[in-house]
Amino acid sequence: MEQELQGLLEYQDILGAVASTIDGLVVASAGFESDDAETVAAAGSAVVNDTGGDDTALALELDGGSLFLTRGAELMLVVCAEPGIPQDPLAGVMQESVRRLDALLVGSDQFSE
Amino acid sequence: MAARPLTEAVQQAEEALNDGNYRSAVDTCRRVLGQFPEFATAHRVLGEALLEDDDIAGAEHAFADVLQRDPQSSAAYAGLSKIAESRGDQDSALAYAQVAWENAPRQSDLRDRVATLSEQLYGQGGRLHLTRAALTSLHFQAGRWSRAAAEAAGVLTEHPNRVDVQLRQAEALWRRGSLASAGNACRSVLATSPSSVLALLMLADVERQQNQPEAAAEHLEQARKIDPDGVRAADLVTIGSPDLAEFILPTTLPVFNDVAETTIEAERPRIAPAPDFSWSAADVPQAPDETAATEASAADTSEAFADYDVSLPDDAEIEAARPPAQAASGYTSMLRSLEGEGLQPFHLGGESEDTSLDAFEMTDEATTDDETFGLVSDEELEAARPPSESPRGYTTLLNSLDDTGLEPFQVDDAGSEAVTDELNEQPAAAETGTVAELDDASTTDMIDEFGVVASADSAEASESADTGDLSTALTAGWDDIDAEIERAIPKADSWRGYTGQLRDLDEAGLKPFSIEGVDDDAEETGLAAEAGDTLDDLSFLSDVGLESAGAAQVESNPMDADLTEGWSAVDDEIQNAIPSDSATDDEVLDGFDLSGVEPFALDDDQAGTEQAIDTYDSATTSARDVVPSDLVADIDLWTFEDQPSVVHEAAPNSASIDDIFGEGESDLAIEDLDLSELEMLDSAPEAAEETTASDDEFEPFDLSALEGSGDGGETVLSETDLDDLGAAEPVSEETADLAASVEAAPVFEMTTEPGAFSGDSEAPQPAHAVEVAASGGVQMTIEHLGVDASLFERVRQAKMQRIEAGELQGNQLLPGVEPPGPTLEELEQHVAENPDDVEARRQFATALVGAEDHGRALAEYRAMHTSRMPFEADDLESLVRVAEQPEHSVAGNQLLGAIHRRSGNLGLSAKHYRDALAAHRDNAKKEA
Repeated sequence: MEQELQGLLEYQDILGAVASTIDGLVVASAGFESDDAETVAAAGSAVVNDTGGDDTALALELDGGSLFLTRGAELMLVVCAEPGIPQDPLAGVMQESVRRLDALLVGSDQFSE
Repeated sequence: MAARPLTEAVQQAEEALNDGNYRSAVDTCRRVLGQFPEFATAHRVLGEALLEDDDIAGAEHAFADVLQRDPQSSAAYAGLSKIAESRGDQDSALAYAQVAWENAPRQSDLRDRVATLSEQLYGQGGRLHLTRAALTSLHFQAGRWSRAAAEAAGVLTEHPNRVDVQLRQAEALWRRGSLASAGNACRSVLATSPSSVLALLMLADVERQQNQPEAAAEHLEQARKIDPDGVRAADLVTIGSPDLAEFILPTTLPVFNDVAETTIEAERPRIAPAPDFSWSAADVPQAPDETAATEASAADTSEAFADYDVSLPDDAEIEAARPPAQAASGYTSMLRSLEGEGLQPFHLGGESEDTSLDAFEMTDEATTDDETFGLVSDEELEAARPPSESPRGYTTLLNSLDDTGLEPFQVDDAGSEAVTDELNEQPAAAETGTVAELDDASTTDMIDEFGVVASADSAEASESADTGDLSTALTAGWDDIDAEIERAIPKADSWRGYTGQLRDLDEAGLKPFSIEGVDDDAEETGLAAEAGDTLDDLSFLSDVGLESAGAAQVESNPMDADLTEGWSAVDDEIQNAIPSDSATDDEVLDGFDLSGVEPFALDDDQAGTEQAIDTYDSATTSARDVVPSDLVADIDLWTFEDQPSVVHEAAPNSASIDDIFGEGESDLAIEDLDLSELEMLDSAPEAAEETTASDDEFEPFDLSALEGSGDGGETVLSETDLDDLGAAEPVSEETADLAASVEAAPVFEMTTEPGAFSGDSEAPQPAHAVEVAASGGVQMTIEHLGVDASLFERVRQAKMQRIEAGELQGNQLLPGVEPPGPTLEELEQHVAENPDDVEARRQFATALVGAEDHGRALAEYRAMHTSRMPFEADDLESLVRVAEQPEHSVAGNQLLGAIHRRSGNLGLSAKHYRDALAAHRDNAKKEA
């Protein structure tokens, strides 16, 4: 999972990525200190709860950067990015990534261990 | 002795606990523990029940027992937290709650409790951090055994005494298949908690797989005592592990012999004294009720009843057995005490007046001979009541009124007659049913009043006999009243609603009030002719259905039609007077007409001392006086929306400033507007010079036309007016596009590129993204959580450090994003070398805006304008961003106004000129 998230950091405008549960519990992260990862995950959870959780992707322009959320079947991917990052391409990348994270979570952990 | 499955007993205890029958739950658990003393579940339910029953010490002991057997019991930790809180030990309460939540991180109530206790201890505003122990549980529950074990190891590094974490680590290792490690972890747990059932079970399985059957059997047997119903063992059994299930699960369900349960609840009468153990079968036969109750019990219970005396003693035996100190509390003693005081019970009518105590005692004794339970009757109780405490029933009330000389009211007085007459016109009721109803009601009242449970007949006879002729005299005339009431009650099929009322009035001979223009004679004729038919037509309607069907039916009722003839004209007037929500422009104009206000004038004659904008204000003010508020709102909308269209209707070359600004003083035409004049407002002489030199299309523009009126110096357009006019910007196609691209919140759709998922059988649905940045609540929540600029900066710095360290490249472009173009310096050089390259200049200006170098961007756009280069929508968007900067608002809006003026969009041109003027005034104020 960390490798998947590290791959996201290779994009020039992505600063950090957190994979967490919908409840905001961090499963994996890249680019963050541990406290910051939990903070971002908790923020993502709060946004999902605040918006009703129906949307699969959310974007927020914040002071200092942008916060993007994508929900998968099991996990939620939260990305901190530079302001003005192209949103549509980022959404596609995040969606692919969260699908792979879901697959990792369900497949490798539960059956191969 | 009843034997039943153990699970049933536990379920009964839990149900009692949930139903609030804590004592029952405690009793059941204790009986279960009497047979299964190690049963962890029973200890847990016992602790919860004792805690609810405020047995704090017992609950604490029970929870400690639970944790010995189940170190991961969140219920036990939660219970201990409540106990600590009840003792005022908030620190311990929070610590226990924290552990409870860590063991069950998905239970929101536990999380809320941790948050609440944290707030109580540390104040509001804190954040609830997820601990590694909770993360261990989370990974474990998700089936990520390795991660759970790793996290647990991390926790144990800091907190080596956390038995719950040790156990979770052991289970994670066991589930992963690391038998040796799991066995060691289990032994570590058992060293601290030798009764830990999960550790025993897992260790037994490890030993079984390691060919240590004796040790496995020993541990399994020990575990079975703690988990006799096999519930915890079943938790360990996964699908596809038949050998494990066969080994670890109990082969038979344990049976609980509930001894206490069979001895307690033989059904007894509701009021029953203690059993007479001296009973013999020859003396008293078993009462039928007892027989039925006994038959309903279990067979062995019935046999027990046949062997033992469980009959009930009579009152005499009870009295004889009563201790002297309590002798005064019985009915007999009470009656004796009353007799000793000379008090006599009141007489029951129709009965023997021998109400002495002897008589009651004789009756009592006689009853005792006949009945098993010789309780005094209700009449006897009432007879024993002292007269001073006799209930205040109707009879008593009438007697007291009669004693005071008051006569009962007359039913045939004038007022009653009127009422009677009116009521007489109502349809008669079904008297039989109503009378029965009234009788029931009166009987109930009487019973309630006296507190005597007697039949209606006996009570009525008693009262009648008690009152005698007096009651008859007092109640004379009540029959008439009853009859009136009966008549007043409508029948089930009687008329309801207006039609019925009109029919009643008609039958009473009352005529409806006359309506002008309506022939009363014709109405009467219509009534007489068709009333019967109408009734027949409507008679099928039930009471329920009449209301809904009434509207249509009333219309067809000629009687109603006659009565309401002429109302349609009145309704029309009322309807016309009520403004509708969708008021049209014509209606708005009608509102102006009503107020005597002339329409908005554009001719110069009205200019001068009176200004168009003032006219608008006065018109609106007058309209507000006569037009409802909601319509005035429409007036505002209408006026501002339509005003620019008037500007467009004017000839482009002759449109006056008045047309644009609603002024009226100036004679300047639109082509008289000179950008240079406006640009003089901006302290950028070089730009003004450039513009003035090149933009020779426009004549000089006198700012006084905007700044002042003819009477000198007075500001014609207030800032508010300008703002209002700004709101009146016409929504032209270009404006709409521009507004959508510039001013609206950037809502975007996350689309999925088809190529990215080619060959994938499960192509994802296109994601739907929502911009939520505008939500203040969300922003506050996120900032409150700590996601702010400093966090972004930390992450940014961390990535830069990793890039510098060579761990990351960090320069990959997102799919579909074109690589960045030339740098600003390269663009500037290219523009300098190719000043007529429109694309290069546009790209350079856009890049300057992107770099937030707004001053240079503005200069570049101005140069493009003076060179008469075309402006695309993207250019205008970038220029608007420049104009939004306070320091460039005047010049930016001037340039936008000039660009739009050149393109022929006078509305947008005027808007930006107004914005420039407003910005200039703002700057002047700030400087002042």
